Amino acid sequence: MSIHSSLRTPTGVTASLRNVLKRFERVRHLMTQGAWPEGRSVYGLPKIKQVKLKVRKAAAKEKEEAPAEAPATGAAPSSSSS
Amino acid sequence: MQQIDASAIDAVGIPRLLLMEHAGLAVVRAVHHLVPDPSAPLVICCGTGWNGGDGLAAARHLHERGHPLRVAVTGPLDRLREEPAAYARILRGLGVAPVECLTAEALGPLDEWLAECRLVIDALLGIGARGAVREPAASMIERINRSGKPVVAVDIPSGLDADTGRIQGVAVRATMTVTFGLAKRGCLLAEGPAHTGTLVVDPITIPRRLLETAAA
Ligand SMILES: NC(=O)c1ccc[n+]([C@@H]2O[C@H](COP(=O)([O-])OP(=O)(O)OC[C@H]3O[C@@H](n4cnc5c(N)ncnc54)[C@H](OP(=O)(O)O)[C@@H]3O)[C@@H](O)[C@H]2O)c1
Repeated sequence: MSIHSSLRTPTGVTASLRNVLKRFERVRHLMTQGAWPEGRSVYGLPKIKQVKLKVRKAAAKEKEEAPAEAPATGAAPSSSSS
Repeated sequence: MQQIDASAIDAVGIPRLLLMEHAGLAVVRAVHHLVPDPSAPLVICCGTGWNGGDGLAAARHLHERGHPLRVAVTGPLDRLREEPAAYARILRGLGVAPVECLTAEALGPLDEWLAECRLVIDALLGIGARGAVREPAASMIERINRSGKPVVAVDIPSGLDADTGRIQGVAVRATMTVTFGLAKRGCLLAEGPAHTGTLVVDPITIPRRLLETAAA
C-alpha cells in the first residue's frame, strides 16, 4: 500500500514513534519492562504509550551561546540572587 | 487452540471438514492478495496432519481458479486422516494428484517446482508438531526458504514452536501467515515475528463465543 507524501515522516521516526504498535511490538515492550509473566495470553495487552521526547531548542541555543556569554574571571555568577 | 477446535467440533457439532474448508478458503484469500494473477503457478507443501489437510483444501479452490499447481505431501497418501484424505481424493479426481515426498532424497523435483512457481504455500506443520522438525519436512523447509519465493504459511510457519516462537531446528520464513481462530503465541514471541510476516487471523467460522472465552 502506498502512503501519501504529505503523511510521510523521515525514515526511522515512523517506526520508533508510531502510536499504534503491532502486537508483537507490545509483547516485546512488556518483556523488556519485565512485565511479561510466562504463559500470559497475547490478547488483552495493556495499552502502551509512546512518549515523544523533544530536545529543547532553548537548551541547545544556550549551549551555543555559552562561550560568548562566559563571565570574566572573578565576576559574580549570574544566577546569584541579590 | 486445540481445545477450542475440540469444542467447536464436539460440543457445537461443526464438522472438521467444514472448518478445513474455511481454512482452505482463508489461505486462498491470502494467496490472491499476494498474487492476484490466476495463471500464476503455485507449489503447495503439505504435511500429514490437519495442517496439511488445510493445504489440500486450499489446493482444490486454487485449482478451480486456474492456478497450475504442484502439491507435495510428506507422507503416504493412504495414511492420511479422514479429512485430509477426502481432499486428496478430490484433488486426484480433479487431475491434480498430490505427490508423495517420503524422504529428503526424494525431493529432487521440488527445486524445479520452486524455481517455476510464483508463490509457495507452507502447510507442512501446524500447532500439532512436536520436537525438532524431522525429514523430509526439514529439507523441504530449507528448500522453500532458499527459493526466495513469497510464502503463505498455514496457521503457523512450519518449524516454529506455536507456544514459544522458538525454531525447532529449521523454520519457514513466511511472507504472510494465515492463522485460524486466534493468534498463536509463537507468532509473537522470540523468533516468531521474523518468521511470520504479515499475520492474518481468520475465524474459519469457529463460534465467536468460544474465541472470546479463550482470548480473555
Ligand atoms: N480443520 C480443522 O478442524 C482445523 C481447525 C483448526 C486448525 N486446523 C489445523 O490443524 C493443525 C493441527 O493439526 P494436527 O494436530 O494434525 O497437527 P499438525 O500441525 O498437522 O502436525 C501433526 C503432523 O505432523 C507430524 N509431525 C509432528 N511433529 C513433527 C516433527 N517434529 N517433524 C515432522 N513431522 C512432525 C505428525 O506426524 P506423526 O504423527 O508421525 O508424529 C503429524 O502427521 C493446525 O495447525 C491447523 O492448521 C484444523
